[in-house]
Amino acid sequence: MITVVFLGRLRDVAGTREQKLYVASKTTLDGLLAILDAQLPGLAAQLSEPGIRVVLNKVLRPLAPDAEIGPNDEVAFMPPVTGG
Amino acid sequence: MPIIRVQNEPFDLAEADALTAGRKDVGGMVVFIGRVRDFNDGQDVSTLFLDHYPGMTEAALEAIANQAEARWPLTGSIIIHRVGELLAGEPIVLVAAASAHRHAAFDACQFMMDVLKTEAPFWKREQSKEGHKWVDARDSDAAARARWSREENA
Repeated sequence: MITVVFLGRLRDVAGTREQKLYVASKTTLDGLLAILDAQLPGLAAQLSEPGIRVVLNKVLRPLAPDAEIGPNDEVAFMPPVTGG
Repeated sequence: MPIIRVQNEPFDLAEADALTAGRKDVGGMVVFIGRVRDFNDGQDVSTLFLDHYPGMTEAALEAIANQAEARWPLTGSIIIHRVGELLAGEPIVLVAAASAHRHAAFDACQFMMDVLKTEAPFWKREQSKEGHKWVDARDSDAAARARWSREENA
């Protein structure tokens, strides 16, 4: 299962804070977005807007569209932050 | 080692004592406390909800304090940030820096706040009778953050 986390306002966009996705084998970020978009048309475009960062397993590092995402990975979508 | 805490419970100024208790090498300490301002003109009870990403948020705060401790000669630093439901008038965040001489403490404290505002994984949602609204990031915060990068590269 891949865990997908929608942070901040993206929770409202996606309709949920966290979702578990079953995938038969490893996928990519593009593959994941396609799965999410199939569930909720238009979601992929919103998750791809400038300023939204994608975080793999809680490590902030740019994620290539073809980077491998496998079972037990966690992918979080983060809008611009507003703490402090 | 910075003291880092993410919690729903309120904190008070005395938390900063951890940086000076039993020490004789601290010449100055700067403490900043950020608070929830009323965003609804007092029309009804309004709350602020702070979303965060458990695990990543704590790590990001620790990295920010470590950056400050590497860049300035600090004897210690603290970041405490609340999450969950907060009321107007309550404290949100405490950032403190201690050093032998005051300039490092002032600069490090401001640096940590400026970086936290633009890089720490928190998201604010204003809540009132009318519903809720996620707060937008501010250009002024990004500009403040950029200043520290320019100064470092100068």
